[in-house]
Order: sequence, then structure tokens, then C-alpha cells
Amino acid sequence: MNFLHTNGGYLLTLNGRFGYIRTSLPIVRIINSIILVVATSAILIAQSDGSSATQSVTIEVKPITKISVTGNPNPLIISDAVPGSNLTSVSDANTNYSLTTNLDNMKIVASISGRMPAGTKLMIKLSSSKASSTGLIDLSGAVTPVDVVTGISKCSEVNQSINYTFAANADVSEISTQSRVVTLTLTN
Amino acid sequence: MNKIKSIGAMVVVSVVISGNLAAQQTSSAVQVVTFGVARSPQMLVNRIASIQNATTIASALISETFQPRLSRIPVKITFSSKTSDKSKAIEGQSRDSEKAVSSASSSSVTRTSRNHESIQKDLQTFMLENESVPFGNTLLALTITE
Repeated sequence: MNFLHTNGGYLLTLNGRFGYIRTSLPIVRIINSIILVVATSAILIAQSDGSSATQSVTIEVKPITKISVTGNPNPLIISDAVPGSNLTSVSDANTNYSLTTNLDNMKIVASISGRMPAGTKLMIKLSSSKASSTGLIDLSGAVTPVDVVTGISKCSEVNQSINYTFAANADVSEISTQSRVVTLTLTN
Repeated sequence: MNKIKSIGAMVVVSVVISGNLAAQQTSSAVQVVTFGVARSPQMLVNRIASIQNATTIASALISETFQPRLSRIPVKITFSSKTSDKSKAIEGQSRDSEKAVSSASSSSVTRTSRNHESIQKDLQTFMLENESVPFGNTLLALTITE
């Protein structure tokens, strides 16, 4: 059996012992139609034997604001001074913070659990790769929160450094070890 | 009655929604910061200076090294000196602001000092009154310890 292409369409020729049958395009179309009808019927029959179910999927992204820190800074102990100057301040930058927020106009504020002893200062500086750090901020009397990073938009930041500096005036006498809780809050 | 219930339900829902939003928009983390100021004598002074006379000793060394904290912390001020051509030395010590300035030599003075200015004056007086105070090219060692 051969299909020959002619100007009017396909021409079917059957070669065999009894000669050949020559036909034209309409016959081919009829055969194709028959095949199509049979196939469609088979599909319909198959579908009538199955079942289906539908689900409605609801999605939502809520406002998310998260901040975390890596442990506590090392003890800040002043033990040296340059004659004629204030006591030599000490610093620690061994801790970091990370944050994620999907909100705009956010900021980080810091507060301290109690005032620092007279003549001493506890300062903090948070670095930020995607927002604005306010630099070294005095936390000594920051019982109410003060801004340390501003202009935070939808972003995530990982392992940004937290720097603490403890300073004391020259007339500060011995201070036994004390602690303060510093709270960093990511808020709007 | 039903109207009151509806209003009540709306208020409750509003409070819940507000609380939920507030909770989502704020997150906190805390750190514990430990600090202290050591009472280390090394932080005060330990130096040797070349002096020309007793007045220079007191005015130069004391003004450089005596800080206001000395009037608050009980310290022992020990000073000694010797001339380059003689092995003559004097020693003395002061115990904070209320202690006496005494000398290991035959000379001694007692002063009551309550601030660093008076300590400075006491030392000046001591060194000027002490006949053994060397003049000329003299090395002075001033050490402050607890």
C-alpha cells in the first residue's frame, strides 16, 4: 500500500496480485472520520467508569517579623588606663544578629534592663548591609528603646555584627561584675 | 439583645485581629551584657622619670599620673629616687588621702589628704622638706599599688 501525494490530496494505491485499486482523497477522509469516532467513543466509555474530586486551595502570606541573636557578648571588664586619660574602654564584637521581615519601614530598637552605674557608659552598634545603622549609641540610660538600625524594608539579613563598648570615667572606682539585659526589637 | 451580641462579637473579633497583627509585626531578642571595672594597680601608674628637682618631680609626675580616682581608691604611693652620681636614695609612702606620708630615711612628714590636689601638695611638701631630696640629674620611680 502506498500513499502518493498529488495536487488534489492523497492517492491510495493497492498493489497486488489482482491488480491495483486506485482511489482518491474522500475515501481517506471517511476512514479518518471512522477512526476518530471509534476512538472518541472508547474514551467516553472509559470516563464513565472513573470519578473525580476538586479542591479549593487558599493561600496567604501574613506579616512576618523575626530577629535572633547569637548568644551573649563576652564580659566587658576594664582593667587598664593611660595616665591622664579616662579608663581604657573595652569592646566586644563576637555576637551577631539575623532578621527576616516582609514588611517595609521597619527598624531595630534597643533597650537596657537598668541604668548603668554613674560614670560608665554601655554603647552598642549594629551593622546592617541592607538598612541604615545609627552608629554607636549610648544605652546607659536607654530604659525606653532607642533606634539602632532604621529603614529596614522587606529583606533578610544574616550574621550582622553587634558591637558593645563599655567605657568609664577616670574617677570611677572598682565595680564588681554586674549584668544588664539588652533587648533588641524589630518593630515598625 | 441580638444587636448587642453582634456588637460584642465584632469587638472581640477586632481585638483578636489587632492582637494578632501586633504580635506578627514585632520580634525581640535579648542578650545579657556583663561588665565591671577591675581594681588593678597597674592601671594607675608605674613609671620612671628623669627629674631636675623636687618641684619638677611633684608637678610633672603627679599632674600626669594622679587622676581623680586616686582620691577614692585607697592606694599606697611609693616613690624612691637616686642620683646618678650618688647612691643616695629616699623612700616614702602615702596611704590614700587619709594616710601619712612617711619616709624610710630619718625625715618624715604626716599629712591628711582628701583629694588628689592635696596629695600632690603633700608630696611636694614632703620632698621639699626632706633634706635628702636629691637635686640635679636624678631618677625618680613612682609606683602606686593597693
